[in-house]
Amino acid sequence: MERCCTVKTCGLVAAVSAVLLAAWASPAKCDGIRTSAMGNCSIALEDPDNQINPYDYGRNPAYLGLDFERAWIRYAFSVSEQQGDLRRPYDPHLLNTTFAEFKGRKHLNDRQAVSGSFRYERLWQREQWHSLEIDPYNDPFYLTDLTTGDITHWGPLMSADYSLRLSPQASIGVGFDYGISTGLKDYYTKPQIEHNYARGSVGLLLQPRAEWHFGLIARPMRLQNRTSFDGTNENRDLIIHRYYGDGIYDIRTFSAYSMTEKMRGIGIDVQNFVTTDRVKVGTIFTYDYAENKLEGKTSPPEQIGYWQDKTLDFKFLARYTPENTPLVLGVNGRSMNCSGWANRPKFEGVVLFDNPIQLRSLGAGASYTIRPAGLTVAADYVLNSYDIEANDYGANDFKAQEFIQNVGKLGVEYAAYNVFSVRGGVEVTDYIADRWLKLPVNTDRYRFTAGGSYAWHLWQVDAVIAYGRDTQNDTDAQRRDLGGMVWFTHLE
Amino acid sequence: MKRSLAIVSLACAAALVGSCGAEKPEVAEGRATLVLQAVDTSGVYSEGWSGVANASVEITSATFAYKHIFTTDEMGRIEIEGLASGDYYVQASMRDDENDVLLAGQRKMKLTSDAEEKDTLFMSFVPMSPIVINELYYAGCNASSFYFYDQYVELYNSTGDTLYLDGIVVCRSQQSQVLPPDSLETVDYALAYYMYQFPGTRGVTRECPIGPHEFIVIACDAINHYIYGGGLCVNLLNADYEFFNARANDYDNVSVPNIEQLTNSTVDFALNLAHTGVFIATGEEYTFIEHDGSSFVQVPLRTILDAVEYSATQGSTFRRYLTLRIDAGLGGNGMARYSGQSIERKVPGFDSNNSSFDFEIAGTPTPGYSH
Repeated sequence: MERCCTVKTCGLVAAVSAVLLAAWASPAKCDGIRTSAMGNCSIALEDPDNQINPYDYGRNPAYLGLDFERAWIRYAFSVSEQQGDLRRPYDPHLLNTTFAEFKGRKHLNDRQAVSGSFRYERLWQREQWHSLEIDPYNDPFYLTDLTTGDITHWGPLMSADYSLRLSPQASIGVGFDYGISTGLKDYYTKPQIEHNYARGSVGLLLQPRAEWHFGLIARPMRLQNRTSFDGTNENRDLIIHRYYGDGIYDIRTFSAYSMTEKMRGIGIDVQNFVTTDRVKVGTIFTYDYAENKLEGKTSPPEQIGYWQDKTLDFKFLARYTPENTPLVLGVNGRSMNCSGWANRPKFEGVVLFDNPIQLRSLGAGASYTIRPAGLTVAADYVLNSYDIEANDYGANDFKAQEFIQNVGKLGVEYAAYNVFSVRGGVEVTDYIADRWLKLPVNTDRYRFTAGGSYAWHLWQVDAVIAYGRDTQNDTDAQRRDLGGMVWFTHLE
Repeated sequence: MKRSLAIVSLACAAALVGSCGAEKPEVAEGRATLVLQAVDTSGVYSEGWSGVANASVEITSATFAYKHIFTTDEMGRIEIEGLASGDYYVQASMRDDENDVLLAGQRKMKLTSDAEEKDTLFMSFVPMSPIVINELYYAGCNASSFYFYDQYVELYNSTGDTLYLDGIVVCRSQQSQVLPPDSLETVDYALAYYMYQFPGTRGVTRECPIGPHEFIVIACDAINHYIYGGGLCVNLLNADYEFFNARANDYDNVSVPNIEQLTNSTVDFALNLAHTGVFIATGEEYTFIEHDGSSFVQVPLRTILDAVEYSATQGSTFRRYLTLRIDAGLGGNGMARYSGQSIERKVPGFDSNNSSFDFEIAGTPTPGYSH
């Protein structure tokens, strides 16, 4: 029913980098606040926001009208913060994300439904070492100066979905996500970083049989990041290092300059969902293609870098509910092959960076509800097998890691009188994956979550708080995160 | 019908999967190999040409920040693997203090990845100019007040004899709008925007001596700039000469001899804070020309004693001020305006006609001495 950013994934950078770390670790990821508070258990936990249907599992806008029954509006507030030195070199020492959001969903008539959201967000990258981009890890090209400073990004994010039922067996839908932000670094070289992200989705949903939904989605996207320098108050020259991978860089001295990266891409999803009384199965085959072109502002514009990313991804999620028991069993799996490569446009016949990734994943979960006591217990275990290479030919730096990632989750909820509930959970990730292989190897993550809800007339208040800690055996460095979010939902 | 629709949709998706994007190149970056044979053509060590053992070979990229020094083997051979594609300056030098010999050679090479480039580097005595530009201070010292009036040019007598600067001209070069693009290498003169001349007549008078291994500082304005600009500004009260332009509202320190303008510019001598060229010439031959209402001076290359081109920004995309024949590379890469830094020869008098090799950022200016 619901798809909204959680404490874990919210942020302007989420559109790019969070996909790499968080989403890979959890194929059946759900963004509901209830599952977030229950340790992110999602494989077998039945929840209105975590159903095996084309909208919750595959965000097919054509299914929007069938995904909810009552209209609602919601106000959400969130604050989260990560801090610590167990990070990649260009991650900020402290990352603070705050947003306020308004969201709503409504049936226009029997055949049409809409949802929309508007959020205003602040992303505060503190003690950012050298990097001058909102996300230096979206390709092998990046800009740096020689200072450390705070960068604050402000901006709105909007999204909208619309579905239209053409017939009892066919629906179409369209969706749009748009985000824009402006970031300023408070210290020499004082760049202005403009981030602009747009993604559309056009979905088709067919129901050849009562128990079978077949969906198709096309998702064009465009992302533009521009880092511009208008000079400093001190009138000093701007000394910028432009990196092409980690080994090749040039030093540029300017009084004013700007560099733009424009990423364009398209994603195609083919979805199948089968639902019977006891069994629900969802499969999604995804093809994603994106190319990123970096350009310096000169006359004529100077081509700086080219990056291409292709992903073939197949995932499934299935649940089985045995007869006359409050038990739900679930399995999920994923097979993903991603291949990214880069070159320098001046030397087109030469590959600069090569980044193939292979993920094979299998998970199982169970949830059990003790009705009289109002107690629900859920547990997931996911085994991810990663094979990642990060070959920086320009730097003669060749990295490869083949490792098993274990993810365990446990969640508990106590609900009483359909009025309030208390939730808690823990999530342990053994070996966080980083596609660039720049995070210290075998970094583990422990997350503890808690939350609750309270219903009063047509209002419902949900809250979640999460504390996380990343550790690694060979170093004393750690990274901690703490965040919370509150929803105020009014049913219409 | 429904099945057909599904099949068509899948086929479209499959076609998209196969059709998107550029082809991934098969050749990897960083695989270029450079094989050099350093050859002594001077005949100082043996009859005929022979390999130069233990020569220091500096490989500098013209397109990105790369500089490494290698040493040739006993046969004078060197093989460097793992270089990225691009243009490189290759500079070889061999200093033999025992026999007081300095051999040098240089060339510019283009490397492509996954290919082996073999070449011979001919080394010989450095064509020593008796008088060279040893230090240039042009960056300015105080950004908050746009203060750059403490610029100076330092000359050096690399010989053991007293020489005379009489009649020698100091020129700031002009990016040649006069010439069509890419034609800088087709003419036999350098273009000057303005030209200042030492008193006297070359070969006749002896008014401006420069002693053996002596430094001469020519200040834009021979005053203590620290008083006016503060910060990193340089005290030039002890300068040997001062650029003076009677057409401009130029300060004149009467206790410091002037070198005066020959051109008709109405501004004081000043160097660009980021990129330009400076050269000195005998002053025996030059031609004034007019172009688009501006006047320039053509100075024949054969009369030029030394030339230095500098640029804060590295790269080969910029239009050059000076022909490669008098300065093959750019000094001062990465030096910011108002940084209070100068560029200076690594070794006084060492001049291979390639400023990217001969010069380095010296940090605090050193008028009248070397760092």
